[in-house]
Amino acid sequence: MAEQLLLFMPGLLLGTLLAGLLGALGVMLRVREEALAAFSLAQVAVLGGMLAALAGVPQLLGAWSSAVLLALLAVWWLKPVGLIGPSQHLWILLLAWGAGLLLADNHPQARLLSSSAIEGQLLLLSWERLPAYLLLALLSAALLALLLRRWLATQLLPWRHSTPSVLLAGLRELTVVGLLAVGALSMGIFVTLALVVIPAWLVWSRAASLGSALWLSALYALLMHLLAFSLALWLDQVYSALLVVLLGVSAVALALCWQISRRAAG
Amino acid sequence: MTRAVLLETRALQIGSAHALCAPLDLSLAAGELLLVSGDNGVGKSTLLRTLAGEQAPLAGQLLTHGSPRIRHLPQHAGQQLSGPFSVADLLRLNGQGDLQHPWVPAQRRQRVDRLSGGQRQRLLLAMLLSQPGDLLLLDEPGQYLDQPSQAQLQDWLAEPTAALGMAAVVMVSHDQLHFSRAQRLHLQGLADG
Repeated sequence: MAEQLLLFMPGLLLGTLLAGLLGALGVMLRVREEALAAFSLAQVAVLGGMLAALAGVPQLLGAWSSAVLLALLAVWWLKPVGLIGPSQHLWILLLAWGAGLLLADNHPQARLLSSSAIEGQLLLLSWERLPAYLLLALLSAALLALLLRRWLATQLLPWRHSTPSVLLAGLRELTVVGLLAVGALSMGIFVTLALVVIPAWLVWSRAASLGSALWLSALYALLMHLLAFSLALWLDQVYSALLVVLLGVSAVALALCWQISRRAAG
Repeated sequence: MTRAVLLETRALQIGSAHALCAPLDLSLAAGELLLVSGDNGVGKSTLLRTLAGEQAPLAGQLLTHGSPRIRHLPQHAGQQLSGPFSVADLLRLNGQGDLQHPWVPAQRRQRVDRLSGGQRQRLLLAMLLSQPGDLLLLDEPGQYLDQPSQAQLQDWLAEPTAALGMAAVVMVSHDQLHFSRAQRLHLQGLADG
């Protein structure tokens, strides 16, 4: 038992940290209606990781820097032809998916990475990879905490719309890409997306304030991750699929209960 | 007394694909109030966005002097506020956590998207008028406000030194407002001749 625990400890540690951070990040992304952007950036991060692995560069570093680079290139390339906002991210997503599939079809290592990005490989995370993943996640989280208020002010206060700082926007993208890259490479693209989208959706219309929305979203994501992790080990099931199903079903059930209790009260 | 010019436009043409109105030559100094009126679609809101730097002009020049702090309150801004943000959150995000103003709701823990349209507009105006700025761009600020609140807003804007310091104000309004100090600009669409 102790041996098994030691084997899965890196995944448990990283997953616990990431679940909370991605849950909180989801609230911030929802302010800007950026679920599709998160999906496309996670897909680009996976493509970057594949390219980096093929080039012999550390996968995470490659994923992060390639994701930033590819996202910027896509923005510069797609913006001049009028593809901005959600359609721009849809194009980035489709192009990254297509390029990733072509790579996977032509290189065995890329194929392995592609399938693990879909299924997630959190339970198999090694102690050797853990420090780099933790470091990038923690750095991104620290930056997120530091700049959260300014980002939200730019988004929410109408008179700040006209003065977005390029540096601030750039740091924001690096932070978001950092967390999504760690999530996509360790937990998988769909788990990352589910953690970003579902807890934030659940608390959005119910939390009383920004602070409570961030905490509730993070806590809910964290609890679901711990439950999915335990069930995956106990029942020998795929962690990523379990977590997505748990998040989706429990969120809908909670929302229904909330609606019923509100009707009963009102 | 001659006041410092904050903003000038020279043959400024506004619009997205084509010019909405004739080229504009404006000059606005500290403490001045410019009332903008005109029919629907002649570019009143576009003019404010252009002056705020949110939309590029089609042609002409927009000159600002001394890096003025520009605050733009677009039309319907309050209605677009949704999500888990309380009144206190919004004030803190604007660096006004301690703001005491008659238009700030007493229940600061209340979510902003659960306030009425008028309460949201009053909150945004209270925040905007209570912070330092050199140029205020107000797009139909009286919308959603009840009669007493509209009268109160008109009182605050009437005297530049009372609530606003020496900020210059450009205000779009369909209402028949009476300001002794106001310049007036009536935009006319190009199609109207």
